Amino acid sequence: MKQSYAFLIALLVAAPVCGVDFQKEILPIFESHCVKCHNADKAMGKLKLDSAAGIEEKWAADAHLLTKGEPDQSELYERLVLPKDDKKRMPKGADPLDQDSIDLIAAWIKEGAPFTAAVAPAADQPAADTPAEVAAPPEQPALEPLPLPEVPAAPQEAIDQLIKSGAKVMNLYSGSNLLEVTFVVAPQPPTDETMKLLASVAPQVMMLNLKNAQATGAGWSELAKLTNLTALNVQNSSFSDAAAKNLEGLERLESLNLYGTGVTDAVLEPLKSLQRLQKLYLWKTHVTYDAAAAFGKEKPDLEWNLGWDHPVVARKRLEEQKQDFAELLKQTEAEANRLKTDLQVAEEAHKTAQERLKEVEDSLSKLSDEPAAEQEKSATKPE
Amino acid sequence: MNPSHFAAYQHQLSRRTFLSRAGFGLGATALSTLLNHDSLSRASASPQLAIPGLPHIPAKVKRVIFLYMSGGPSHLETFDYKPKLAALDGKPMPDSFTAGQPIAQLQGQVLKAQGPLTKFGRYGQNGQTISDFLPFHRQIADDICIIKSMVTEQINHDPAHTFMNTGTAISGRPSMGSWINYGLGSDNQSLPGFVVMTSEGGRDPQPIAPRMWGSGFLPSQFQGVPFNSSGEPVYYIESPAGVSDDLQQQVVNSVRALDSHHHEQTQDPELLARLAAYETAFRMQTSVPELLDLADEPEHILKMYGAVPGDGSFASNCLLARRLAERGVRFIHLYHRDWDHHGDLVKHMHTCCGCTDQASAALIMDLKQRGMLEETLVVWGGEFGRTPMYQGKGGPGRDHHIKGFSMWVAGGGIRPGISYGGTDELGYHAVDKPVHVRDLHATMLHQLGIDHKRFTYKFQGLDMRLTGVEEAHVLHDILT
Repeated sequence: MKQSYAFLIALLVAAPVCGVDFQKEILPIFESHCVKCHNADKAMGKLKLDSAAGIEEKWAADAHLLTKGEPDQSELYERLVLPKDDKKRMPKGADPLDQDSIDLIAAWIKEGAPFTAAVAPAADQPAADTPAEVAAPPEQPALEPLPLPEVPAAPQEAIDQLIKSGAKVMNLYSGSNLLEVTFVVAPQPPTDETMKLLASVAPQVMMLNLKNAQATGAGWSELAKLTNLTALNVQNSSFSDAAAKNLEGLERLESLNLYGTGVTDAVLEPLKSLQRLQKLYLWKTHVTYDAAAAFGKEKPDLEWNLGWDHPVVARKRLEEQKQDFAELLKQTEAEANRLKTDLQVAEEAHKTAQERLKEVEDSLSKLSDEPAAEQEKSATKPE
Repeated sequence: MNPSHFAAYQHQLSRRTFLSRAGFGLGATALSTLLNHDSLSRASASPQLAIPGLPHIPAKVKRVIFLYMSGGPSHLETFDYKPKLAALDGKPMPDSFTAGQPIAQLQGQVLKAQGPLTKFGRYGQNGQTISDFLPFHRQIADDICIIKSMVTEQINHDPAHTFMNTGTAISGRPSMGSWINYGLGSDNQSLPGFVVMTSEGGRDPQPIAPRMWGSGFLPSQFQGVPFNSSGEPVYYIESPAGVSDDLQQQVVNSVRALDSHHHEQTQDPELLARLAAYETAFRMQTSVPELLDLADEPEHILKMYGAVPGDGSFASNCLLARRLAERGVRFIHLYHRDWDHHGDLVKHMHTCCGCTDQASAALIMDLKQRGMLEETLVVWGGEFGRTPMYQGKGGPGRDHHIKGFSMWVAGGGIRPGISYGGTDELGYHAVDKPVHVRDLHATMLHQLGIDHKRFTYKFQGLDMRLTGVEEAHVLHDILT
């Protein structure tokens, strides 16, 4: 009984006969444009677009994802057709899908967004979810995190000298030979001398903060030796476009903080080779919005930051706020009008009540204790 | 040594203290940093090191900024949208939710459902639900991870604060900030590693006990140091009139010599704490005025936070929190004490959110543009949430609620722009992936490179931990 019921449902779900085939037509669109960020490992927004099961899972949690028959009320479609510069538009940081693909997705949703092929399933195969298992999409080879490098212990003398120069030197974790070196609270800013000292612990330095450093080209060139560097912070230092060339070979570099330096758009060229770069801080530099955006487009995993007060960033934010507040204005105006009407009604009711009360009180005061018949008599009595 | 002397000596130096302090642990590191240099200098402060064995794993963040919304903000008017609760507005709260549950002020009263008292929108790439009380939070919707399934164990303010801060309702245990400072040390010896600021503004604020930032059984230099948000920033930080810098330095050096001598005899760990406090205080005489002088903050940054220097507001404290973070302070705790909305919730939410919304968002964005968010863990939340049931002290409000509430975390190693866990359809019980306060602590320590199970301190014969002896889980699902 249960089995045949499930079968019926499967049939119903698979009902549209000459419709869009999810497996053959929709899934490939997602696979070529979306799964980079929406896969089993990196499910941005908890959305996996790599299988029917993945979509169904999100759908179950968020009904707004798909509204059967209504593409315009399905977030999966809505986000594809937002204006080009809308932050919510998908695919993020890439061109919109071509119109054919978008139309196809709309058509699929109009048909009820079925995940099964438009063929009747074999009688003894009631499960509507079998295609999901078949559809193991080719995973985009995401960059696996590298294991921590094995390095010998840094020479103690070099560490002592670094500490003497104002650095705080810490092991990455207890027992590790890898080092984090920071000059955040150093009494004097790092110089070329410091950079030479760093070169003597080159393989060990994993995280480096050279805030306020005043080094020359020669000093910065030492950075090229720090091949295990993962995070570099040179904020408010003399770091320049030319110095950036020394970073080209740092294949582990994930985070680069250039805030407050004099770098320009030219700094980005040598950074293109950094496969693992995920964070790039450009606040208070001469890097332009367009250059940063173009760079970000080449590196979809990269998060770049031009600062809260960058004119283009601020404009986008203010425009969003403008929308919000215009909406709020409309709502509050409507609410105020409604309340005004309510107030009028209430005031009128109040007035009426007052009048009625007065009338009743008058009548009451006029009322004597004599029986009604007597009153009538006296009332009819001629004056 | 005659017997009476011996008794006195015994009194001063317990065997346990001697054994636990001689030669390793804090004794070794603190002694070498404190006693072995001859004179005090404001410039060359050597950083306080991590205790041996720490960090256990590579840390994701260097510090924590805890935006503590004291009083218990309503999850139902901030991040947890419950349309079904709106449908039930004014009707009796179903018994199935409330039977046998702890109730605070609504005890013995008829329990009625109270629908959401504001509207919600979806913001950010993933459509995070954020209420209209928090318009500035929309801007950071893609940066924060909203935990909608918090639970705690204490239903009244003081024990609940104690629980959130120390992992237990028993008073007198070390605060999380103390634990972290004890474990990891401080990057900057010119400032305390654990700073607490309590903001002014809003309506009549509730008290918060200083033991919330106490160091309990940990050495007392790891306790939180309260900075006043207006007026004199730290009490008695200025030298008295007529006392020159040189004279001050001589006094501190002499006291240090005497204390050191005494320490050699007694091995009393509290003497080391005292020495450390003197040194930090001496350096704070220059570091604190520099820290608090906002003259170097450009106008647009002040505006971003909504801060007016010296006003003692939450906004100014958020800006100071960033400055403390820049100077290597390990744990920065900001209290805003105005969230206990038993009645007139709408009015008070406007006040509270007006005081905190913009600055919380600004802090995230400011840390981000400086590249500091990835090395900081920011936590937002209070000691508990509020009931789905109506309470009417004045206009509609809500009572204390511990079975499900919302907090958010953001920063290094936290998956941004997501929501985690959830409450039932009426916002009562955390039913989807409940997160206990202990789990929050375990996750916080994990991000700092500490395995909460191995981070212990011997006290009264027990290996004490912040997360205690009950189960605590690192929330791996919210980590990158």
